[in-house]
Order: sequence, then C-alpha cells, then structure tokens
Amino acid sequence: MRHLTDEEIQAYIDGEAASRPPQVEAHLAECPVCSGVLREYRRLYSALANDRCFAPSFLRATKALSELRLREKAETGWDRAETAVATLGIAGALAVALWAYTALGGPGAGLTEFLATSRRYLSPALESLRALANAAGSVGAEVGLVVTACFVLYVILSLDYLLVRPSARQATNG
Amino acid sequence: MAEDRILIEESLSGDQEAFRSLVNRYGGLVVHIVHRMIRNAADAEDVYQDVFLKVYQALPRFRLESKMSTWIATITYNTCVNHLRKKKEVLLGDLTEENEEGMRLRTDCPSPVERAERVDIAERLETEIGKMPPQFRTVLTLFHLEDMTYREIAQVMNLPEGTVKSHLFRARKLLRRRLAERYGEEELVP
Ligand SMILES: [Zn+2]
Repeated sequence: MRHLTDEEIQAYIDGEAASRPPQVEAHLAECPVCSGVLREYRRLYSALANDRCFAPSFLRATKALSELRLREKAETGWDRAETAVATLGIAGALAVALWAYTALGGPGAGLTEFLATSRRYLSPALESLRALANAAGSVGAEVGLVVTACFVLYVILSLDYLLVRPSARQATNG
Repeated sequence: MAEDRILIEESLSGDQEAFRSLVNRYGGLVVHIVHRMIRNAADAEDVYQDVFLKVYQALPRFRLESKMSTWIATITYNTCVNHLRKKKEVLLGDLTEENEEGMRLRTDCPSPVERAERVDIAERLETEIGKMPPQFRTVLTLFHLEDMTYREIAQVMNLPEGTVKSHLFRARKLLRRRLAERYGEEELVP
C-alpha cells in the first residue's frame, strides 16, 4: 500500500470537499500514518491563519502612524520652496525665449514693433542675460552648449513639476 | 468595495479622517506583510510609514476596477523588497539543504531542555518562518492570513501562479515536519 504524498494531503485540505478524490478519502480513513500527517497539516493551517503573534507589531505600527502625520506637515514647507524655485525657472525660461526670439529677428513688422515696446520694459533683465550669454560665449561654444542643455532640462523639469504633477502633490499635502 | 470608494474620494478631497479609516481598514494587511518580511522591528516601523506615505501619494492613480487589498499589498511588497535590496539581504533564496540538515540533526538528538520546553505553537511557527527566505514568508502570509487567491498573490509578487503554488507547498511541507519534530513523541508521526 502506497502512502499519500505531502502534495496529495495538502491538495486534500486546499480542495473543495466535492472535488476530493475518493481513493484519497478511502486511504485516509484506513491509514493511521497518513491520517496523522493530515492532522498535523490541519494544525499547521490553523496556526498559519492565526495572527496573535502580530499584536506587538500592531502597537508599533500605531506609533509609526502618529509619526506619519508629522512627516506630512514637514513636507508642506519644502513643497512651497520647490514651487517657488520652479516658478522662477519658468519666468526665466520665458525671458530667455523672448530674448532669443527677438535676437533672431522675430517675425513680421507688427510683431517687431510690439517686441520693441516689450524690450524697453524688459531691457534691464535682457542686459544681464546678454552679459551672461557673452561670458558663456567667451568660454567656448562647448561650455555654452552644456549650459544651454542644463537650462533646457531645468525648464522641462520645472514645467513637469508645476503642470503635470500638482495632483500628486495635492494628495500629499491633503 | 463601495465603502472603499467613498473613503478614497474623501481622502483625495483632503479628508484626513477618511484616510485614517483606510489605514485602519488595511493596516492589518500591511503589518502582516511588513513584519513577516522585515525581521528588524525598527526597520519594519520605517517601512510601515513608507508604505502608507506611498499609498497616500499614489491614491489619485488608483483605479477602482482593481481590488484595494491587492493594490495595497503590491505597494507593501515592493516597498519591502526595495528595503531588503538596500540592506543587501537575500530575497530570492531557496529553502536550503542546510536547513534540512540542521533539522535532521536536531531530530536525532533533541536536547532535554528543548524537549521539556513547552513552547507556544504560534511562537515556534514564527521562528521557523523567520528562517525562510522573504518570498516564502510572503506567500504564506498572503495565502493563510489574507485569504488571497493564487492569482492575487501572483499579481502582488509579480510571480507566475505555478511558482506561488510550489512555494506554498514546499514551505508548508517544511513547516509541518519541523513542528512535528518539536512537539514531543506522541505527536511525531513516522
Ligand atoms: Zn498511508
């Protein structure tokens, strides 16, 4: 007589009563060895479903949760700073774009006139930007390229932060 | 399910109390997974916080077609996995030969102290589970404590269903033998 394997006995417990093979049922009824193993498995299953040993962990988890609230508050201030930096980045990006646009000649006559007026208002900022560009130019075209690339990356990240992710931040700040 | 939706919507509109209710509802699930996977109590606390922070941040992306418990279990499992990786702990280990060896030795010569000891089965079980690789612990937790199906467990752990089944089978086989050998001769079946 072949004894049941561990796999067969586990499947017997896991399975629905209706789908249990009759030969397994019959063997368990007459074999004290296999019915003993079945008993052990039943005890193991009930022990595995018991979460009494988690009680201390639950207490620690409750404590951890009260600290979670503090962390949320701390993050709000940091978020505001990040928003300010991102806003500055976008303002800078717009200024540079405007400057580059006009420096390249701009489009038709009507717009050129409008830009000329804008330039008068923006002249201090444009001056400093031009100075910056000259400095970069004298260092070398490669450095200028790297600086521009970094700036473009920064602008993209700022836009992403301000426009794409506000819903996620809203959730964090509650 | 319907209640979950209300709680999620209220949490998203900034209701801290609603989020707290969600935490209470799924806290048990998170604690079970975290404390089975992360044995160090202080680390487990950090991970527990991390999980709920992540749940909070990801809440706007949660789709109600999926089950909240599966979704939270997935976040929890991944957070634990990342933590263990950072700590350079073995995640994908197997139930080793060495374990079996130690077991046989102990069966051959059980110390009198060990035999006299009346150890609570739950405690003994936790000790034995603690010796297993994290993946085996998680499968046992999700199946026996959370009543998840093989498919749900496979989804949470990103494993094939067949692997989930074989992990479960082998883990239980090992545990059954170990508990039997520690529980006095009258219950030790040849
Ligand atoms: Zn038998």
